[in-house]
Amino acid sequence: MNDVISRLKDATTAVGDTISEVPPLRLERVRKGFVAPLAAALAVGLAIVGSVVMTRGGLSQIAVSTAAPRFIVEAADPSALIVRSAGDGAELDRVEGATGWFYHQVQAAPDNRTFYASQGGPVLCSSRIVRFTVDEEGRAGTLAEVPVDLPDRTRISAFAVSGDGTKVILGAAPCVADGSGSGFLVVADPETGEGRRLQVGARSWFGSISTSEDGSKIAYTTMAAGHQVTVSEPAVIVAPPSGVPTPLPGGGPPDVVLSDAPTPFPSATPSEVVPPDAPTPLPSSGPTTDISAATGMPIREPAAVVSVPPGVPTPLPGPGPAVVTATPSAVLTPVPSVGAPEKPVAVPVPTYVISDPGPSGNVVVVVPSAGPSPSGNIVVYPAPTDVSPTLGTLEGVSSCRFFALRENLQIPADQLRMVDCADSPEVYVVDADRPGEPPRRTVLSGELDGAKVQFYGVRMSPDGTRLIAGVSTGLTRLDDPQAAIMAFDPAGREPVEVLYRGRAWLRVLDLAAGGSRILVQSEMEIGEVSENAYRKVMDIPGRVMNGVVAW
Amino acid sequence: MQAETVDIALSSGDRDEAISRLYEEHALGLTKLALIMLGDRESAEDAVQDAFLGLHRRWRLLRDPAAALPYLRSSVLNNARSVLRRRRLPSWFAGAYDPPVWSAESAALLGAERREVLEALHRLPQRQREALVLRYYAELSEEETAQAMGVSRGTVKSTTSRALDALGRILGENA
Repeated sequence: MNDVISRLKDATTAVGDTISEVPPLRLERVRKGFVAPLAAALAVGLAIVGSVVMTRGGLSQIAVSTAAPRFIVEAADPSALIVRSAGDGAELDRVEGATGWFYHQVQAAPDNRTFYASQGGPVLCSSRIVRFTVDEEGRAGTLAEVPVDLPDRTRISAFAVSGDGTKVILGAAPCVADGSGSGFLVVADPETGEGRRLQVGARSWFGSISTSEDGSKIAYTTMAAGHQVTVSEPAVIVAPPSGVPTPLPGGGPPDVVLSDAPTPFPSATPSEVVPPDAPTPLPSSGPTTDISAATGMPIREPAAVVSVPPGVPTPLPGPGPAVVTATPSAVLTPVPSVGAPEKPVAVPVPTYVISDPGPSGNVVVVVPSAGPSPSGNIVVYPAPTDVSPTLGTLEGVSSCRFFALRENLQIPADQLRMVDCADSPEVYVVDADRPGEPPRRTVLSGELDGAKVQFYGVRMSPDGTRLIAGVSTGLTRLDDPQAAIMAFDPAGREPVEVLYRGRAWLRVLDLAAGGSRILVQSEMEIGEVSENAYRKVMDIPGRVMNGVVAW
Repeated sequence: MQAETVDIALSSGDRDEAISRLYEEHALGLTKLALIMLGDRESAEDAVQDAFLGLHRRWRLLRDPAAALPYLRSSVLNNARSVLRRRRLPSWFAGAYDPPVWSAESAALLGAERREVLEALHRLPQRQREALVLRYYAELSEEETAQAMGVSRGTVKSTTSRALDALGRILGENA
């Protein structure tokens, strides 16, 4: 072995010694040998696209753009979409929905001027896709419905637009919880609605859907419908900020079941902190009523908050239930930001036993709390209360939390914080050109500095060969970010490349046309990752759900 | 090549000057590293220039001066991977590049034995190749290698071990 090492050192040193000087530093874009042929290829491609556009009636969204997106559209408010500047997040326009219809998700066409949104309607199982364009100032035009027929007894739970703008891919999930429904991927032409349906499994909710540039490869995550979540001690709901409108007066019960159990912390009960209009935990022995599924209407995210001592690793999502130990309660102080509760709340630390009886086996949310209780004040960044959750996903209960001990109102750079609300590592990949083939299941796994990672947003790369995911170990420090954006080979599961590292927490929200610009949530910001650098776009009050923002 | 350290006062505020000093001290070493990964000088120089350009762009995000060099190493590796990936594309995308310095055309520079080692090195999977070069050429510690590759220390250890086995096998086959 030493001989091999010696030979290796000798040979590599000899190669290195073939150069003894380097050119001067050039702080501008360096030469690229591939640019000229790439430009030529691009020109040919654009010529082909141009001809396609002409034959298809000049649909401008088809023109592939690699320029930086100028607009972000946000579906945070169920009653209106917000068009924002991609530069600083400034609101440019609002797109009100029709009466009785609520926005769920939004997607962008590659031209960054045409946007699609899914809506749930007033009638059982009603849902649809609408489309609108924005002008160069970000002013939105009128809404038009995309003429896509859904399979009976299904509704849209997630959707995507192909990178070339020629296809919309809808995840149609059963909307009647009688056990007879099937999930479908509907691949359709957004102009004519013509397309095909791919049956992808019974009773599957779709967490997120993304596609390759041409729409031929589709990646999706699922969520078992009718899943049950048992919380052995009361979950504590952080009060929403005052003035935040409730999407539905009175709300609806969450599509999960939270069971009451004796708490060792009688001083703090859910009733002390649960706002009147927040979802109420239901006994686990009661019936699982999926109102949101039945009505297609948005529900609020119950933001369970527990105290977690720093230094306790987050158990990874796994196939079985997880049990963690309770620790004493602590006083929580709200973060002075929009979306935070206004008063400190005493929070018991619940023991969670969370299981997933669904067929996909893809959901386990674990809240660890072993070890001593943290002392001092704890800053809790609460889950958003004014962001419409993705219906039917367990994200509805796995709130996104950061914990930090506070010193002089500052978060120390070396403070260990815990991040949860991870997605399932289970991703399905479908080849739409081979309708007979079953979806290929991939369970992603990877490591950062020796620790297994969890996944925060997964999207397919434009060429269909990679899955781009935000990852984190679940524990992070500002000065030692345990988060990254990684590219995974769907076949190999293992990460093939680290695309970016440098922020404390990253969730992949969307890829711009071409895939080189990644819209992310990083802590309490929405930002852009491109060319191995992060740029903040705007502050946000809390977690951003799948499909809530697009560019 | 010894593991390098940054002792430059990066918080001085003068971004261009600080980056210029970093370039002066480390560009040659990084270019040699990129050359071993890529084989041709022009691509190697570009990979390094791009890394410094990236550092220049994200300078204000640099929280720790000591992070500059690990960032550059990691960035050079990433850029090298991108170049290698492009080379696997159809030739009209990949463009033209000089044959590697260990190719038959350049064999006179290195000698047959070294050329054999380098060819064997480049038959290894990318991650194994990177681990070997960082550990035994750049003489980085396991920790530094892990940081540059964006993997865990344990992964570096196991990858390096597998890579040495594989390299030994390839060289043995050729013997």
